[in-house]
Amino acid sequence: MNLHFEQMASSAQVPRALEPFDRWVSAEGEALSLFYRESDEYVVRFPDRADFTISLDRQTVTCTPAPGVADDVIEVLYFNQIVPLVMGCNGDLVLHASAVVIDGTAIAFLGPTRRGKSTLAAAFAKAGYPFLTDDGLILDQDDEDYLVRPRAPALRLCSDSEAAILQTAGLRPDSEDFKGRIMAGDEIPFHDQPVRLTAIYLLPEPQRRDRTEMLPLSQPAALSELLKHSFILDVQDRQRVKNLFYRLASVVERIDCFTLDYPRRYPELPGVLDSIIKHVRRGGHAS
Amino acid sequence: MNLDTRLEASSSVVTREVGGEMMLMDLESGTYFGLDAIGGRAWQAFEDGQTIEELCAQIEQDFEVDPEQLREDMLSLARKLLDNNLVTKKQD
Repeated sequence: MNLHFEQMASSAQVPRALEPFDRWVSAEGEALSLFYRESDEYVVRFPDRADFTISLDRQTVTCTPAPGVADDVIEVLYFNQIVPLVMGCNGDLVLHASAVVIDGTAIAFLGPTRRGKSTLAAAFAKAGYPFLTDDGLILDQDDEDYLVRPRAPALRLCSDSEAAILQTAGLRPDSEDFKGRIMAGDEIPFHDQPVRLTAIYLLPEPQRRDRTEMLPLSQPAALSELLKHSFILDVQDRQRVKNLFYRLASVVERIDCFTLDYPRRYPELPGVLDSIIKHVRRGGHAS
Repeated sequence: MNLDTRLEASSSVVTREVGGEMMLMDLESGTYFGLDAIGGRAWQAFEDGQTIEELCAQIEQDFEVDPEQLREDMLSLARKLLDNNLVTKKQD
């Protein structure tokens, strides 16, 4: 993908002339990003962080950061949000998911920001199961199979996850924006070849405090979730949304989908991984 | 809306059968819905231009159902589809 990126000087965000045609909202109702279509470009606004302008031909992205926003935050937004949106618009199937390799096949963790996708990917990698991506998972169809395309040999972790998984000091400021980049290596292996996807685990709002629970998701429910967690730049582009609907329907017919809920306490993470690995090895059967 | 009403799918709706359910997606609003086996059959009947009464008569041939309850359920489904702009009333 040829995408030219340019970062402008910072500037305060001012109200835009048009209403957004789409918005991503957190579970608490906070606007995470707003989508505008203007005459010859799309603008994706991350409130108080940055505006990204994407040319209609999807060749150029220009970023105007809000004052005081660190370059690292811009890099995360660009790589984890804007690039997947453009790729989705260019015909790739891109999901809000991370993926790791277990016994030669890939499993994916699907969910919104802060639901544990990167933490699970890092924890699995640290335990010797290489990661393929920590977000913006790209699926390529290969006859009856779907392959996870490796994305970048780096993942981003909040400082508490980094400290718990990598036993680092965790001295960085911890905000929703600030996720430190961890480069792949011997300690955190990255798998650089496409791998067949065998299961998708949806990370719902955590409920369980006592144990790890994986429940099968019906195909219709899985389709709804994949639609919710796909990167699509223009929800008003009917042809693209229609294509996405049909393609994701094919995905849920071929790939087993489950919900995955687990205790959100770092000391219990090894046990969570163990439960997931057993579940994968049993082909998704409870016991 | 009555038993003689004919409905037709809105032009913005795409459908796909998935896992035994008929999934509908309204491209206009971006919302999606799932219909169970009977709902899927109703959808097919509306697409074929049948009235709600014709649909009910057909279901009665295949299933043992309370005719009154069936008509109530089908009218309720039709209203729900209409309220969500998934169908429009067909003009004769």
